[in-house]
Formats: sequence, C-alpha cells, structure tokens
Amino acid sequence: MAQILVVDDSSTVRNEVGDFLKSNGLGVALAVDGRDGLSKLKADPAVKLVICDVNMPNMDGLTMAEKVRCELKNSSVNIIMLTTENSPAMKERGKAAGIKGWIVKPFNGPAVIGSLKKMVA
Amino acid sequence: MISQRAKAGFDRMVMQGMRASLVKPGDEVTDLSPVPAWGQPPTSHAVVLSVASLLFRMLVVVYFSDTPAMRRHFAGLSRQNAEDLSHQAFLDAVCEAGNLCCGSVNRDLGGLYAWVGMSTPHIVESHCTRHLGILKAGHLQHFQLLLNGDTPLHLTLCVSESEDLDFDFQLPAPESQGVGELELF
Repeated sequence: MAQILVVDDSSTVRNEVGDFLKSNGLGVALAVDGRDGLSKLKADPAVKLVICDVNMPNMDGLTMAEKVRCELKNSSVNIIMLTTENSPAMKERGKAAGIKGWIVKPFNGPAVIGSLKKMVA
Repeated sequence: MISQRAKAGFDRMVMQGMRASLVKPGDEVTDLSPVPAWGQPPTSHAVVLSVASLLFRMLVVVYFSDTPAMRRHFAGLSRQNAEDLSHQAFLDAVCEAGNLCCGSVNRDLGGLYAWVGMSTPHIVESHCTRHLGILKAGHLQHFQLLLNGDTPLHLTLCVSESEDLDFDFQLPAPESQGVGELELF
C-alpha cells in the first residue's frame, strides 16, 4: 500500500523521487498528471502524502489540490508542491487549497526526508 | 522596444539557469557566453519552453541530439545511467533539464513582473528554430556552454515584447534562492 503519491508529468522526476522514497522504506505510487493523481488518490485511501508538480498537461497540480479538498472531500491527506515555480500568487492559491508545503526543484531528498517521514507517520 | 539593460538582464537570467540546470556536479564550466547566430542548428532536435506575461512572450530553446555524449551528459544530470536510458527516458531527461533551466528564468522574471506563466516542455526538430526570426523578436540571443571539453550545449533565447521593457536584473546571492528546501505553510 502506498503512503506517498508522486504526481509529475516528467518520468525523470517521478523515478528520481519515487526511487529515493522507496530507498528510505516508504511505499510509493506514481501518477503522470493531476487527473491521474486524483484518480489514484481516490482509489487508494491509504495515501497520506501527495508530492505534486504544478505545471502539467491535462490537469495542473494546484487544480488537483483544490479538487482533492472539494470533490474528493479529503481534508486529511498532506499535499506538497514540488515545482520550478516560486510565485507568491501560486503559493497563496496553494495555501487556500490547504497544501502543507512547497519545494522548488530540483529535488534534494536528504534535505527533506525527515519532514516527509513525519507527514506519513 | 527592450532596453539594453533589460536585454543584459535576460541574458544573465538565462546563463544563470544554464549553469544551475545544465551542469552536472563535478563538471567544470570552461565557457558560458552569448554567441553569434549559427548558420545551421547545432543539433538535430530541441526542447522548447515558453514564458508568457502581459508584456512579453519568451521562448527558451535547448538543443540536443541523441548521441552517446549527450546521453552521458543528460543521464548524469538526472542521476541515471546512460546505458539504462531508453530513447523516451533520454528525451524526458532532456525535457526536465530544460524545464529546470526555464523555471529558473521564470522565477527571476516573477520578481520583476506579475502574472508570469510557464509552459511544459515540447520537443521539435531543430530546423524549426530557423523560423524564430519571423517572430520579430526584440531580443534574440544564442548561448554556448562548454564543459571540460565535453560536447558543447547550446540554447536560444527569443523575447517578443508587446510593450517597452526596461529593468535592471542582478544575480541574487546563491543562499537567497532556497532551491530544494521544504517551505512549510
């Protein structure tokens, strides 16, 4: 059962983040865009943390976060954005959707693994 | 019209993005500079990303070919083994490197202009880039990155403005950028 859902349209990022989390003993599921992420989260209620890109085809990450809260009515899953974006307006939109945090790419696993483990504990 | 200092600012942003996203740890940058336009595109393909605001549109074009040297380079950037990369995985690694490079420029522009938005990457055959000239760009600049005598990397920046652009951009201190850190809300 997956504890963390990684949502990114780049297979490079999905594999890098997913492999790092697995090597740290965490269960991981992968999704290719916001629409896929929403579907996989709906199918697997055990997921406790979503790590999600912002700019993706079909459905972007911020829209996905809003739909997790409004359509799936899931207020408990933690959501973190992992993105090249850093604009205050986007962060405000994310905060309004109840996201927990923001990481500017590139992913630096050792720097954040402690916080991620706390979020799935 | 784009002022000379704004053009220089765009160039600084791009070169900072190239240094941050196209150079592997341990690689030595022997040259990173603007270069004159080339007659033929330097490689077979390119990754194109765009940044749009209310005042301008910008294209960032990163050139590549599926060669052993490029495979080694982009595999190394994404911490993968070149031998293990399928063609699709290679393309994805190049796209992600372009995404990080353009993302760095996008963040810098976000400090100067509100409502800046960035695209996802798209791969084109590089001969398409010969048509950049018809965009009547206010700033069209090519760059070359040389690493340890390895295969050179090339990038084109194309900015088309809808109003006059003037800003003074200086490189931020590295410690002020916060890349890779988790900002908790």
